[in-house]
Amino acid sequence: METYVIPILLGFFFALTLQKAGLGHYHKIVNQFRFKDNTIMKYMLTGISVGLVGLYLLKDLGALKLDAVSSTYILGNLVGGLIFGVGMAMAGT
Amino acid sequence: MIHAAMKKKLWSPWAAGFVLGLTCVATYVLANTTIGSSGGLESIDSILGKAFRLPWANTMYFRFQMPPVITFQMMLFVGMLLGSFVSSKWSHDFKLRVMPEQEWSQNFGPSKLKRWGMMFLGGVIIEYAAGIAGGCTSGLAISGSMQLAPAGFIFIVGLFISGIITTKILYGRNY
Repeated sequence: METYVIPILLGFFFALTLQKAGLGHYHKIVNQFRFKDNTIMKYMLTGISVGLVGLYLLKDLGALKLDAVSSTYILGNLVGGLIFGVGMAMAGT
Repeated sequence: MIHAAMKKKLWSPWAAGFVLGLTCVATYVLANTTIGSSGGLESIDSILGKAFRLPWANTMYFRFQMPPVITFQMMLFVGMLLGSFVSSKWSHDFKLRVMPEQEWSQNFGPSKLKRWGMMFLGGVIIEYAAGIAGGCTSGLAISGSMQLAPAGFIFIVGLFISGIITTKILYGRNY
């Protein structure tokens, strides 16, 4: 249950939102970089905002310990991001 | 109501993003981890490397950083395949596409080899970069930023800088 059902269920809803936002399409990704279609920006920032409020609300209520925070290595994150963008623009995924 | 929503081919990005946010919170509550995709691929690599006794499977990285075990993210992939399949089937959007609809061929011509070659190369670059950065769009940009980790924001900045430049180079005058 813990190892199989929960991740499958979470992945189901994650990919469902991606598909419904149309992010399986090449043109959605590339047109974000051309600023002709801001779907990714809207999708990502709404997701981040909702998650941010939800997570910190639960943390302040004591229902959640925020202890899986991604670690920051400024150079690694920046260089990784810079290379990642090249691949993203080429593949459109 | 659910049926009516699922029938639609596209939701407003705000609505899809809202459900994404709820899913991320649910992930934290139910599994005490975050959504991510690039790590799962590396675990699959690790398992394959061990199964075929490839030399690189013995490196420190694949023995300890990405050990050859079934991980949360790999099960997430199973759910993702199901989710996108159900979603596209329900709205009759499911189709096997060899080429993207118009955007690609208008700029790069009709060559399938070119498209698939660039997709493969782009995919290699993406996965390699995700290894360096410690996450991908979902694992670092979305999940990291919503925990207010600086890593997520730095990654988004880098991604957009090079993404815009690369697109500009690829599209040239048509940008």
